[in-house]
Amino acid sequence: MPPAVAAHSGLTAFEQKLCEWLTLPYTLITMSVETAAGTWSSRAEYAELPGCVAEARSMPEAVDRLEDMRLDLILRSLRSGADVPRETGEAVASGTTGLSRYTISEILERVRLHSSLGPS
Amino acid sequence: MLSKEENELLTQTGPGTPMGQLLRHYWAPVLLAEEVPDAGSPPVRVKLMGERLVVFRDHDGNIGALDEFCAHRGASLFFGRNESTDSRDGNCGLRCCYHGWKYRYDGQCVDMPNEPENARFKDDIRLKAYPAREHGSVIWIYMGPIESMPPLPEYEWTLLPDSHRYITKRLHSSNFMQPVEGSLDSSHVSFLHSDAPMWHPNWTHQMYGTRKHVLQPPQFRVRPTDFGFVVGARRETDDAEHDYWRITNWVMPWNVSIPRDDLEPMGAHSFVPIDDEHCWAWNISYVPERPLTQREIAFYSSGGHIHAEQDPKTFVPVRTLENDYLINRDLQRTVSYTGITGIVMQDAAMQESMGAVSDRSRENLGSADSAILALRRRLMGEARALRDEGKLPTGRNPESHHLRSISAVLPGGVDWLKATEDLRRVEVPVQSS
Repeated sequence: MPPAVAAHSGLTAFEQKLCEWLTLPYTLITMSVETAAGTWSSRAEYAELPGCVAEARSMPEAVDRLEDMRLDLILRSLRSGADVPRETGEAVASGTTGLSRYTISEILERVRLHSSLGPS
Repeated sequence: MLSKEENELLTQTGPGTPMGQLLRHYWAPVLLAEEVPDAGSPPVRVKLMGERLVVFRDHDGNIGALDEFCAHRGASLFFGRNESTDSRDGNCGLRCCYHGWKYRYDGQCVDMPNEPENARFKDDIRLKAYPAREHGSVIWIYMGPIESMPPLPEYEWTLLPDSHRYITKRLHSSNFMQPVEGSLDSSHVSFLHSDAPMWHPNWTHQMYGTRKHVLQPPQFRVRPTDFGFVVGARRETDDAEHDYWRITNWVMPWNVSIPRDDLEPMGAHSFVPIDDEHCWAWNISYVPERPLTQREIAFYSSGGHIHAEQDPKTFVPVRTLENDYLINRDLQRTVSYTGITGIVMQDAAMQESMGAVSDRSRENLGSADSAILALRRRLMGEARALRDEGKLPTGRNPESHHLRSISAVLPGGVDWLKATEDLRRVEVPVQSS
């Protein structure tokens, strides 16, 4: 059985909620910004998610960091029993988040491997 | 930047490849309906994602999409006879010219005249056959699992009367991802297609002073959706209180519609793999509100708007990599950014020049390339989710196709999606049952 299939069997309530929230769509905003005189970075941002702004030398790297921030925000919200901000619109619902380099099952597997990311 | 493995995942579409499996879950446009115009028309060769097929319309009007090669000795059925019920076996079907084996539109062998009649050999022979339909003046084929076959797509142009649309297909000599990526890359418009009005006054990317954005790049937003995603490119205008937005829809897996200014004709593309180094670029000009004028049709047929000057039988463009797209350096110095005539051939020159399969390990994506990044991650993610978990891909619900790409001048700071919701929605006429 492929690891991703195994990852989806017997989900806890926490994991089910995590998978559901990972499919919520947010608008990615990208731009080049001058972070210091003559130094430019790529910035990626989810304006609807507090604190989710990432900068990096390359745009793909900035989006990777942004997706990590989003995952962290979702996990913190789940642990504290809070909801996450939502935009209107249909969930992606394809086994992907839409912008992460990982599928939802792969993210779930990462969360399980790094148990500190899971419920406390 | 992608690794070699990621690039292969993204670009390889043959049978058994993860991306090939994903793409086979969608109806693919393969022929203009006029290529098999009538019941009993001659068969046509089709190559789709590396698979060689023949498509024919039998004398009952059924469209067959069969393995090109006869199950007997492998001769091409392109040379076959499209027979009616008025034949020795009494069935409609395509008969191989070599030894007379005959196949129904669904691939079943119905006659085997070089074997004894009572041997019933033919009952065990079935050629690979795919569902095929005519819809919107185009023949579509579905190559995925039958149990997962979606309804036919309902892109806006497919729902209009013939008189409102003009459709061409063009041979594009690169992997399908290069033109899909190119059509989502809004910032190239300010460069590659500069001075396009020299070719036609209605092509107005320069409207609202976007030319100045050669120095002021657009800002991009990408919003994932259940059908793919929406890209918003915001450009400042001469009026400090307003922004010029170009809002483009990408519909899984290879469909892009082009924003229009005012009521100019709309454009849509689909880029469908022939094999990993060639694809069909489908180009559709349409006006939802009215029939096209004779002047517009004449313009499109001569290579205007999003069409190309090309051989009407082979669909090979006049301008190719081999002849440097007939680049005119005088024109390039004086009036045109490229010196290449035709919007889509300017695109093709760039995309084909990157190589048959672009090496994405050598590139450097910037903030203007967020739609390209989103496109790759979505396609690769869905291909892996299908392969590993059996997750059916998105963008197959026809209702999610009822949308259009637009351009708009909006007050600064407004929610670009909410402010354009009505403009982006397509009202579908109620079908009479």
